[in-house]
Amino acid sequence: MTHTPLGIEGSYPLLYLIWLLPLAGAVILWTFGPQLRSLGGPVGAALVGTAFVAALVSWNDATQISDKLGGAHAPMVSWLPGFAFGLLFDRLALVWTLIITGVGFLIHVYSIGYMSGDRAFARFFAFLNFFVFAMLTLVLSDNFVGLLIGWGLVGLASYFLIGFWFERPSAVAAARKAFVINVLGDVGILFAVIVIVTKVGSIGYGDVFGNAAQAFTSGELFVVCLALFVGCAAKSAQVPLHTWLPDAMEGPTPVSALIHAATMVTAGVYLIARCAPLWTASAEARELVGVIGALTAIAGAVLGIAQWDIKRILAYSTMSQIGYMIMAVGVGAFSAGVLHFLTHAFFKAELFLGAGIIIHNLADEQDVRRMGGLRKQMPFAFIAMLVGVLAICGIPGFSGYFSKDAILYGTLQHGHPILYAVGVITAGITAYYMFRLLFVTFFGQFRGNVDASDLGIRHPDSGTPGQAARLAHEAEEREHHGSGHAHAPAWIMSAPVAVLIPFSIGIGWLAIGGENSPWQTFFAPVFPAAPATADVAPIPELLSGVIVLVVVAAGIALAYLRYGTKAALGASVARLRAETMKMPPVLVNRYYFDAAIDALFVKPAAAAGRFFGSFVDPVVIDGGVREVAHSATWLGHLFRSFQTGLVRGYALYLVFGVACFVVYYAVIGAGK
Amino acid sequence: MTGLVTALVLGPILVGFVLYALPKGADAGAKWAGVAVAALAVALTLGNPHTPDDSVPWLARPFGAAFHFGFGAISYWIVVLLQVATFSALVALRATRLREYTAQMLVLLGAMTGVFLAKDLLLFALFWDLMLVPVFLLMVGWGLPGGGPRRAGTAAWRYLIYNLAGGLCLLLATAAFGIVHGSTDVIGNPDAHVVIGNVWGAWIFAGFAFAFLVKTPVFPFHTWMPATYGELPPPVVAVVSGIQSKAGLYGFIVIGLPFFAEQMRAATPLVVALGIISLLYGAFTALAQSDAKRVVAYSSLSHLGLILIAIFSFDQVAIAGAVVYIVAHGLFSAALFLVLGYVEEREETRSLQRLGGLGYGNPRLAGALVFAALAALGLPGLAGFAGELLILTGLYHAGFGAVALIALVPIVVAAAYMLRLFQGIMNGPKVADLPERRDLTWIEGLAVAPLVLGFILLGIDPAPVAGLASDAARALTGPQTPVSHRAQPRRSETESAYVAADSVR
Repeated sequence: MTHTPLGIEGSYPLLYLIWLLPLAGAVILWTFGPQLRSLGGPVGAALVGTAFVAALVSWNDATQISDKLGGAHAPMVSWLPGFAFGLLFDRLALVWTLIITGVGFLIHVYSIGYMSGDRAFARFFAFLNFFVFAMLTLVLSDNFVGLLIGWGLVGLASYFLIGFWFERPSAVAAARKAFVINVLGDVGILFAVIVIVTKVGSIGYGDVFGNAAQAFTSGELFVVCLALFVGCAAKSAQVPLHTWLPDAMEGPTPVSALIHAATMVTAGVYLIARCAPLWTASAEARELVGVIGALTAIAGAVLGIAQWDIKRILAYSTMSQIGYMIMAVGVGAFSAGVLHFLTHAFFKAELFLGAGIIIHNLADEQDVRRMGGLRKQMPFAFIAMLVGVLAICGIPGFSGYFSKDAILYGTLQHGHPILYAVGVITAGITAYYMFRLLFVTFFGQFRGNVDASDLGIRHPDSGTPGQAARLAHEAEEREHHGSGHAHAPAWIMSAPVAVLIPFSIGIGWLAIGGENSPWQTFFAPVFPAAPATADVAPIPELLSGVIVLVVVAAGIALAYLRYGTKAALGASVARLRAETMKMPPVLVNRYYFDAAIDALFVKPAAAAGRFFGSFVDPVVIDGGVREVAHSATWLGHLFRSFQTGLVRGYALYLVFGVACFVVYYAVIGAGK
Repeated sequence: MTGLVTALVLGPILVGFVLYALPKGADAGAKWAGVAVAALAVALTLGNPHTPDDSVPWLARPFGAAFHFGFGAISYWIVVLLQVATFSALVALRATRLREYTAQMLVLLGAMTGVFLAKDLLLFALFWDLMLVPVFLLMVGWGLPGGGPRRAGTAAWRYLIYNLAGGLCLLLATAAFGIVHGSTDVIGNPDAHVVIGNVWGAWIFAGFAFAFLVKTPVFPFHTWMPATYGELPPPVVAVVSGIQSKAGLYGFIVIGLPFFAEQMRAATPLVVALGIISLLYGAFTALAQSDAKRVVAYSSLSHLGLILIAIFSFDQVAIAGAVVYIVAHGLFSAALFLVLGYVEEREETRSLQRLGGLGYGNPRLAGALVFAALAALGLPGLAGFAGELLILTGLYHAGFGAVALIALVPIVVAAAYMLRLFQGIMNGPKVADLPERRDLTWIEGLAVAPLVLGFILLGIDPAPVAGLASDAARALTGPQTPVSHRAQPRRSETESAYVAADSVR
């Protein structure tokens, strides 16, 4: 193995600061939460904000280039030779670090308002800070094991936050499901690491990428990529490991914005972009990942049509958008995939936080059928959501337009016209269900006072995440303090959203200028040139863009005709009821994925466990042993003497005997 | 400091007997004396890692034996673990007849220290049997019969009979070993040159192996274990599950690998098969248990099966990983059993069907349990993960790729059963008829803290344990192909994980 250096080695104190500040926050808030009380939020936010500033200050460390090496590299401990750990802060890590700490900071601030009055206010921020630390571990690691550690820790943070309201059985179940599926992903990466260490002899990115060509046969390389992708699929909710993401909406809304939209779920995109040299070398892996990404994009979008919970609509749109990113990095359009991560982080965070304002103001109502006409009631939330919807639909000028266009055209450039077609259709569906969300929520009449059964809602009291918990908390708080607690001012929730709006519009402008755009120039040293299989795209970029726009316009028009016209808005109650009743079961049951996983894995595993524990152990094994034992009469004598209490005495004698024996020989031996 | 190692073995036993001789009523004093002994043992062991062996000639006929104790590369950290776990078990101990309880725990500490520090096989075998006695007495005297109609004490008998059967085989095998080889003063001795012929070798090894497999235990010798762990008082089971169960694995490493390499290789298919069965059987069974302690008991069956496979792979990194995992498992299983004990003390049940919602009023208790459960499910960043990673890497390297692949399944199942355990106790709505008791007290926190701190530190950097073990494993298994055998060119041997641990740091 030739050792391949990574980045420019040196001591980077700021880098440690970026990495460890959120950890310090988590420890402090977790330990002293009860004492800090309402200070917990500002402290947590301030630490993440400081990390963001430190990351900005370290910009030049990350972008420095000398002798083909890019970024800052700080070695740390080594377990055994070959298992060396360190931090790597290069351009790719920089983009993720800025989003994690920057968007993370905004969401911390927002949470101060959203979570105010919660019993475990400080603990919530401890978990948020811990998440930021874990995510930074993931993206700053210079090796596969460090990545896997971060990978596992973000899964843990996600578990804690999904199950934050842990008195709700549905939240507890959702948290466990998310964690177990994510462990399945961890195990995939673990297997890849095992193969990598055995073949290459090192876990460092530099060594692995530098020696991949000699160390792996193409079959082994495909296995490594496949195993890594199992991790990506679990974390980034790709088919068939996506089922945990919609359930994860049981967590508080800021969590959905930070973890289950903007950052954690894009870890799969990061991993593939990081392993670009491996993917570039394996055509089979690119093919597979591209197809899975496209499949996820369209499957998520179709399910988005059938949802009524505002957070679940956004959850399926997240799944679908990550499908786009995975498709992009899968086929080799790395910088396009990363750009979509960047734009998506802003507009999806904004959509979730906007939805959070609505949910917060409607006393935890999440069903869009019980909303309507909110445009006048909550103009700020409307504007925020509108910008987010325009961005996600890819309306020219908004950020999503640039990144989605880059991805779709990238699939053509890399010779995947079918994936392109799927992507275009998905764009149309996305436009349809996002405008459906917009019309149903913000236009027409408010339906919060309409009887639930008139809207076709079957279990009006099954509750929405957090509702029961919060009501219980508030009741308890009132008991403690005599009166209702003071809510944080409204601006603390709207300010972060206001900051996100310009980014949701403008961040995509970085990609203006094609090959010479700031974005392409920034990533030119990071990603290898397009693989040799790349064909020339059959149609020019402009035509591709026009096709996408026409399909998106069709989606919007359809949504308008069904939900937005005067007639539709006037009869919204009846129409929504009819739609609920006629919803195809395959969509209501989410393609039966959950039922299939339950029947194929969960139930058989539990049944096997019961069979082992209550039949094999006591009947087969012990039965056999007992047969032997019963034939020995001395056993019966022993049991009798035990019952008279004699055996305890014998045992004591045995201790004494052995001890005397030992001491005797020790003394005799010492005397010689 | 000569004599120190012997003092670490005999000291606790002697103090134990003194406590036994004290008049009734000295309970609190006795407990704190026990805590002090354990703490002192930890300090002395950590403070003097390079203590020379104590060796005194003992028997000359029918074979040579020596009263020989000493630290070894494998045993050092296990003994530290044992002493720490004993400290943790004693410091927050609440029980009737505290004086006798503490005395038994100290005898247990000394006897087990003797097992791990003995450098003579005969001594090893004697302490092996001795360490059964206090466990038996503690189970009879202070046992907590788990739910169900079983008579108290049944499990104690099962424990004793199974382990005495193993101990008898061990003793016979040791005697035969001594007669064939001429001396039993061989553990950790690189100049022993033990060569034991085929006919004798197979039988002697079978004797050792039976004792070790029962002790660990592996399928199908395991049924004494859930019953024992269920019935033993939690502080004792913390030590028994944490460390005593490792005696067999330790035996395979320091006795099996150097003296019976040929026989071990011949037995590899069988033992690996048993290991795989234990791995899967334990994991799935843990998934369906409703007694919290039995969940952890079956999870141990699963975890220790993996360690057994690692030892039989004859791979340097796998064995280093096995030792890391032995220590890691000791830390987290001791922590798990202690915390489950605190839960049981408070709620007077350990049934997952009865428990629930305790996280509300007991955030510290919930925090301690979640840490231990996470370490047990192999969360990356904690010690269990480091052990698993090294073991699986070694297995794959040694050509056990399929086994490594199978061993991934229980990792996923472990996530499910450990969360089921944690959530079943701490999460969900409050259970109305459960008594509300105080949260984890500071002294209980003091008991759990060293264990939690241990698996966090070991998870961040297992090099102190892994380095020593890797070094020893290289000596035990002989030269191997380096891990990077495919990638060429190699700059120097020192780059590979399969070369001297001196270059670890």
